[in-house]
This record gives sequence, C-alpha cells and structure tokens, in this order.
Amino acid sequence: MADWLFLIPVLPLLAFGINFFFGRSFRYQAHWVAVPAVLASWALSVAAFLDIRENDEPLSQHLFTWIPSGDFRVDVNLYVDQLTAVMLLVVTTVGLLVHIFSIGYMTKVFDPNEAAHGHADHGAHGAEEKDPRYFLFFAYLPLFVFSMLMLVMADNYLLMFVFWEAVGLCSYLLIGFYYWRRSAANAAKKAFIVNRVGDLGFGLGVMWTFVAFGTLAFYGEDGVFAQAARGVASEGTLTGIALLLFTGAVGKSAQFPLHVWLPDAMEGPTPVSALIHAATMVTAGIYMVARSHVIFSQSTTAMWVVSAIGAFTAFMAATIAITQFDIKRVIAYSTLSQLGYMAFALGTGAWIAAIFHLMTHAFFKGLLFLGAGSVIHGMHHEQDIRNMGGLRKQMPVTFWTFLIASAANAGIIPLAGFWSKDEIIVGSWISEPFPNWGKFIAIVGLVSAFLTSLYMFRLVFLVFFTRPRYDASHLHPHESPAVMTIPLILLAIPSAVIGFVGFPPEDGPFHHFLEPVFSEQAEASQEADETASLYVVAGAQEDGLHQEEATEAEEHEEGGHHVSTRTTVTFGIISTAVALLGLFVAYLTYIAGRIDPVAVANRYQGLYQFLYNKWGWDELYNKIFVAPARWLAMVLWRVVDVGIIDGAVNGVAAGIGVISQRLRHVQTGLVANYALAIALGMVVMVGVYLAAFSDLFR
Amino acid sequence: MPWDVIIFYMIGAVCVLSAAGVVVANNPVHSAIFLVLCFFNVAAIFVMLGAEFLAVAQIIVYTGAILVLVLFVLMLVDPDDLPEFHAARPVQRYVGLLLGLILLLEVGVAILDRSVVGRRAVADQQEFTQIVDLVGGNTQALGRTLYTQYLLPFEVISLVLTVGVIGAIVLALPERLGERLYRRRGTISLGHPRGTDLALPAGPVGESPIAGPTPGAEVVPGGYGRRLIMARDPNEQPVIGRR
Amino acid sequence: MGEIGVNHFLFLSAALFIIGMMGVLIRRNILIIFMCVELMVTAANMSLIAFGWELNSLQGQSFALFTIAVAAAEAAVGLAIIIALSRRVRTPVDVDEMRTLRD
Repeated sequence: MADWLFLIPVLPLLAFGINFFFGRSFRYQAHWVAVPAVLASWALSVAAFLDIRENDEPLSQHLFTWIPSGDFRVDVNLYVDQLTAVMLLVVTTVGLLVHIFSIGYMTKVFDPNEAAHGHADHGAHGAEEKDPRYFLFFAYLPLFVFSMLMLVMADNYLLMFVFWEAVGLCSYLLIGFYYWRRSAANAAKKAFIVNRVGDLGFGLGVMWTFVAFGTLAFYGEDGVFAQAARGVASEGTLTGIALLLFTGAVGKSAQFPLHVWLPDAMEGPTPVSALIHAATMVTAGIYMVARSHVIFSQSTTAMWVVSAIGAFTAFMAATIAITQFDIKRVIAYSTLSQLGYMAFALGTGAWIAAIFHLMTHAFFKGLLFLGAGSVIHGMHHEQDIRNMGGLRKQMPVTFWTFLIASAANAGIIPLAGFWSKDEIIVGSWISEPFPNWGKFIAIVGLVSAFLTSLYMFRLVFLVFFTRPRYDASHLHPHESPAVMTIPLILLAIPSAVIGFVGFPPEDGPFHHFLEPVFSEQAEASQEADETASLYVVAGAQEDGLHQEEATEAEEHEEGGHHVSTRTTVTFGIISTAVALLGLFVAYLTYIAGRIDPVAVANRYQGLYQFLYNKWGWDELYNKIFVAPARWLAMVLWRVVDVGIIDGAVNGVAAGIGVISQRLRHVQTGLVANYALAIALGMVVMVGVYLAAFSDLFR
Repeated sequence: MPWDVIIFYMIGAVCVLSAAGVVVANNPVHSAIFLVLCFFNVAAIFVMLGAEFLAVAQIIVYTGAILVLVLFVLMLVDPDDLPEFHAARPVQRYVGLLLGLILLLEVGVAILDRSVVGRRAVADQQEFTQIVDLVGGNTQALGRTLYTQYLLPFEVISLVLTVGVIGAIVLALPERLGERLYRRRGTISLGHPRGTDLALPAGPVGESPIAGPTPGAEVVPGGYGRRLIMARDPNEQPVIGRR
Repeated sequence: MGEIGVNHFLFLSAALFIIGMMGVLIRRNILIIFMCVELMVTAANMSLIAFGWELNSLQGQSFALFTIAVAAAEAAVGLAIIIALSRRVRTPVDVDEMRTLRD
C-alpha cells in the first residue's frame, strides 16, 4: 500500500549505523548525518499524516515475517493509522528540533578523568569545545528515534515490546552518557532496572494476550482488538491483561509506584531529557494504553486502577515539584504530573483528550527542557535555580520561549496546555464509567493544576526574574547560539497555538481526525451491548419500563457523548482561575515578596521535608528492595560464590593435590610393586568375570 | 587305574615340585636346574597331548637355548653380586602369595565351571589321530597347517625373531661406541674434588654422550668443563649440569 | 579318577602359571624372575595345546609354536638387557635397585 513507510524508521537507523561505526572519522560533523536523516523522516511522517487525513485509511506495509512458528506468527508490519500518525508527527518534530538543538548544546562537560584544565572561561571565547563523544551522541539519538518510530508503528504486541525495550536501552545509554559521573551511571542503572519491573508485567501481559487470543496482531479480522470487542475473552482475563499491560505503562511512563527513575534520569544531557524523558519515550506507556483501549475499556477494574494511579501521580509529582531546586528536576516532576494527567484521562475513558494532552505536552515540555538546557548552557552547567535569577535580560529568546512553555504547562488560556488539560478535567468530570469517582479525579486534577501553575511560575520567576544570585563577577550568562534558539522558537509556535486544533472542545479537527481509531471500539462495544441486551430481554420481559429507561440512557450517552457547552465553559473558567491563582501566589511569593517561602517552609517543617524528600519513596524502596537485594547479593557473593562455588573449585584442586601427594607414594619405582599391581588386576578381573558370567553362582 | 593316569600324575607332580623349586631355590643356578627339570616334564605332557613336535621344540628352545643363555648370564655376573636375598620385602611376599592362592582358586573354579564353546574340527579323537597319521605324523601335520593356514603369521614371527636378535646385539654392545666417543673428546675436567684435567681413564663408563662446547673453540681458564661436568668419582658416570 | 581329561591338563597348567606368578612377585633376583616368566609362558602353552587337543585341532599347537618363538625373542632381548644393566648398576640382578621410574 505505502511502500515508502519503512523509510520513516530506517533513515534514522541508517544514521545510527553510520555514526556509530564510522563516526570516529568525522567526529564533530556527525550531526550532518543525523539531522538530515531525521529531517527526511519528519517529511515522510508529514506525508503519511496528510495521506491519512486525505483518505481516512490506515497505511500499512508488510516488511517480513519474523516468527512463522505454527500458530504463532509474528509479522514485522508497519501500521500507520490516525493515532500513529499523530505520534509520528510528535516524535519526528520534537526529535528533529532536539537534534538541531544538540548541535549547539553538546559542548564539552567537565570530565574529572581528563586533565582538569579551566572550563569556566569557555563561554568567554564563544567557540566552545565539543564533547569528545559528540558522534556517539548523534548515534544514540537517531537510534532512539528509530526505536520510538518502530514502537508506534508496530502492528503487534511483540514488535511493540521489542522496541519498547529498545527505547529503554537508548534511554539507558543516554542517561549514562556522562558515565564517569557516578550519579549518572547510577541513574542509568536505576532507570533500566525500574523499567525492567514494568517490562516484566508488559511481557507477561503480551504472553497472556497470546494465550487468550491466539494472536498478537492488533488489527484485522482475528486481531486482538477485534476478538476482544467480540467478547472472546472473559472480563477477568481482560482485566488481567489490561493490568499487566498497564504495569508496563507504569514503568515506561513513570507512574506512581515506578516513578522514581524519571527524576534521576535528568542526569543525562538535557536534549535527551527533552526528547526521551519528556516528549516521547515516557509517553509510550500512554500510547500503548490508548492503543489497547479496546481491552481496557471492557474492564472497569483496570480503568479504575489506571485513573487512580494517574491522579495520584499527578498530584504527588506536583507537590514535589514545588520544593525542588534543580531546574531540570522541577521540570521532570512536572513531566510526571502531566503524565499522570494523561493516565487518568485514559482511565476515565477520555482517550482523545489523553492523546491531545500527549501531543501538546510533547511540544511544551520539550520546549521547557530545551529552554532549561539553554539556561544551563548559558550558565555553564549550573542547574540550581537558587544560583540563577534575572536571566531574562541576558537570554531574551530563551526567556520568552520558556515563558510560553511554562504558561502552556500551567494552562494559561490561549496556549496549548490549557485546551488539553481542560479537556482532560472535563472528560473525567463527565466520565461514563465512573460518574462519582470521575468527579473526584477532576477535582484532584484541578488542585494539581493549581500546583502546576505555582511551580511553573516559581521556576520562571526564580530563573528569569528577581536579582541575579550568581557570582556575576565570574559568571557571564549569555544567550545561546542560533542553532539552539531557533529550535526553541520553532517549538514555541506549536506550544502556543497547537491547542487550537482541538478548539471547539470535544469537537475540534483533532478529535475528528482521531475519531476513527476510538470509534471502532464504540461500535464494537455497542455490538457487545446489543448481544447482552438480548439476554436481558429474554430474562426480564416484564421489566419493560426499566428496559426502556436503560435504552434511553444509552441513547443519551451515544448521541450525547458531547458535553454541554455550559460545562465546558464553566470548567474553562475554573481552570483558568486556578491557573491564575497559582500564578498569583507565585508572584506574591517570589516577586512581590509578600509570602516568605523560607518562613513557610520553616513553619511547616515536616510537610516541607516530606515533599522535599519526594515523599520518601526512594528511601522506602531502598529499605524494601535495595537493601534486601544488597544483602542477598552479599550472601550470594560471600556464601554461595566464595564459599560454595569457589570452595568447590578450589577444594577439588586442593583435594586433588592432597590425594596426589598421597598417591605418589604408590609410584615406588619398584618393579615388583608394579608386578603386584598387575597380578591384583588380574585377580580382580577374573573374579569379576566369574561373578558376572559364570553359571556357578546362579 | 589306567597307566596314562598314573603317568600323568607322576609327571604333573614332578612338574609342580620342580617349578616350586625354581621359586624357592636360594641359588639361581639351582633354580635354572629345576627349571630344566620342569621343562622336560612339560615336554612329556606335550607328548601326552599329542604334540610331539612341540615337545621337542620345547626341549630344544627352552632347555637347549634359553636356559643355557641364562646360565651364561649367570656366569657373567659377578658371583659376589649374586644375591643372598631370598625374597622381596615382606609385604610384597605375603601379598604375592595371597594373590597367587586367590588366583588359583578362581582359575580352578573357572576350569570346573567352563563349557566348551569351540567347534571341533574333527568330531572323533580316533579320526583325528588317523588324519594326523595319514599325513605322516604330528610334525608333518603341523607343518602343513603352518605353511598353509598360518603362512603370514609364520613369516611375521620370523621377523620378530630377527628384530629380537638385532635388539639384543644393540643392547649388549653399545658401550664400545660410547668409549670411542669419549676418546675423541680429549680432555675433560671433572667437577669433583678429585677431578683433574686428565684424559678420562679408560674404564667402564656409560655411553651417554656429554654435550659441551667443541674443544678448542673456547678455552676458559681453569678448565671450561668445570662448570659442565661433575662426577663423584672418576668411575662414575659424568652428569651434565650441577647436582 | 578315570580318563585323563582336558581339565587335568588345565589344572596343571594353572598350577605352573601361578607358581611362576608367585615367583615373579616374591623374588628379587632378576634372573629368577626371568625364569619364572618363562615358566608362565610355558604354562600358557600347555593350556593352548590342551584346548587344541580337546577340539581335535592343530590350531592350539600352531599358536603355541608362535608363543615359543616370541618367548625366544624375549629371552634374547631380556638377557641382553641384563648384560647392559650389569655395566651400570652395582647389583644388576636386584630388581629393587632399578627404580629410575620413580624419579
């Protein structure tokens, strides 16, 4: 159908191959390979998007059959429907801009292993030295883009799982890019290991899917979703599968129990944080759940779990973000919080709103990270916001773009974040599966929105307003070069205006575009409902009145899935008010000085410490998992490895030595003794012969 | 009791007793005489078994050749060296006896327990004797068998004998070659307090050639061989390197 | 007591063989050991001939002839070895003196 689809992922893969294997020979020109590849990939993604928009038909390409094993057949197919098209656009756009940004950003970072010559005065000379592993960075980044594109284009769970792991690998490699930093190496390990927990669940979910449906392909007559919609599997099975799949999403999208890796992942270079840990990879979980909405929507339990975890994450991360001082960590917790929004949108059935927020979030959070990167770059790798301040004069472009992104994140009215976040809150307020629970979640979302606005503007004020708190005599902040500011500007545009693709809320072009993906499910569940109602009719004929009411309610739901304009407007006003309230509080605190943050922190010391220590999850996990694991490893090392295994090996060697020492006395060198041994052997052999073959003893 | 049985037991008794005499005799020469007696009786047994040719061969080869050779060797060896010892160390002795008795028991059981699995070439003993007589007797019959059925092994065994003879000569004669080797080397010094830079006295020295620099190529003051050759006394075999 | 059977000869052969073996095991004089080996070979020959007699065949005798030939060769080489030994070992006839295998 679309024979060129494979080029979208393959071009970045090619760039990876060239840079990885031959990059050493053109070190600092490596971006000339990576950027054009991703650019071409972006262009093709746009083409695919336009094609789908035009024809309303999913594109697909069969590449090859990977596993043809009896009933178990896995094809490597590329499948691009509306959902994937959106993801493609997001991944390639942000990816492309991050690639460009990295050209300027990837300067040399102080490496204690190398001769420590002055690094602080680099900025004064303008032309900065590039990182010595520049080419490697530009190999890993396209590899990630490739993996992520394959992940969203996969048409079956196994392929998705493979690239799910691949993006995890890229994440690991890039978090640990500055591997000589102990914290970076640890963060990389932490990310990898925590993700393994989720991936185990995902893997089990995939296996269970195969057991339940006999296939792993998403679509088609016998695809997983068609079968699930037909009601092949029981609700218990679907709940199990959904929860296991969601475990994977929890790991990858850093939801509550497994969220601890994402803030630490900020040890990686900032463009990596922007691309992987904000815009794309962490949204893979959201994407996967949205892709599997047919399964999820049939299990109330799973939906409930998803929404509860999402809401909790959104709230918890927002509270933590208020107290953090590392510019990247604040944004990281913001990412957690926004991912929580997406998750509870999924959990309350607002699929399109979740994807909408995913898209807007990718742009403004990518922009936030790149802006933070620009600030860090301008401040010579200073990340503590307590040591910043007043940067808007030195870095005007960064400031304005950062401001736009922050406002978008906080949900200030015309910007992208407002529309999507508002839609999520409305979506959960009117949630069909959970009328009351949905309202509660919506309120949590509003509270989190207030906190979001608070911490975003706290960040903006502390970094760009107020007096400089750095040592101005030694540190001269400077605006980043054009190669970095242009991506910022290019990202600021969608961050500001992309919200309008969903303008009439619930009814924008974005919704219409995505509708086919999610309406299939509606149709299918409708079918299921019909069959179910047949039984109901057979069983409860006399209850006609009740029946009628139920049908009416159904009709109301189907026909009136749209929300009344009044609700939308009301919530628009409320969330704007909440966001402005957050902004106002931040203003009072950090600019007007009416509220002294230190005094507040001192007054509520316990709460502050609790939040500052990130609710203590790390310490808790250390106690529950890490310490026992260390203890076990210690036991395995000291007892099993040294004691038993080495002991056995050394013991055998020593024993042979001892036995040999004894046995060497057998070798007397006396011929007579040897003759005796021969005779003894003969006696034994004859004896054995007699005992074994003679009839005498039978 | 038939005569042949009586004769068998007589011969067998002499045989066993003389064999025991070989083992227990103090003097090796007595042992050899006992062995001759034993072999004569064995030859008689062979005759009883119808192997006249082998009986004669037994006498000629063993008593005529091998035992004479043994006696020669006995004479060659210094009579002082002839051992006063009777037997090996006690453990060896008792274990050896014990093993022999056990083996005797086992073999006895095996003989009593055995069953004939071979196929008789000729069904009847009488007939077999007739056939043998027909070709002229045991020697002729055996010769026919050897030169027809066993021709190749027969030729191979002649090769074995040749090799054995050559080996015996090589083993018995090499020291003359060694002596010549020594003479050619000229003077060597023995790394012994009594060692001197003298020509090695002609005497019973081993044939082991001594590796060393060619004489004249390099003369180290104080005797170049001092570092290389050591001997406890001039009659002992020189040993290369330091002890 | 009755007819002379093969078993008679086999027992005699076994007795000779084991006496030879005991001699090998308990004596230290290499010449006596040598003679005992000859005794063992002869005992084996007797067994072969007895089996041939039982089977009315000349194969046993043929085999015994070969054994005698091998024994002759062995005697030649063995005695030559004793001669050679006599030149370098103090007591050439004591097997316990020959213990270079140990080092």
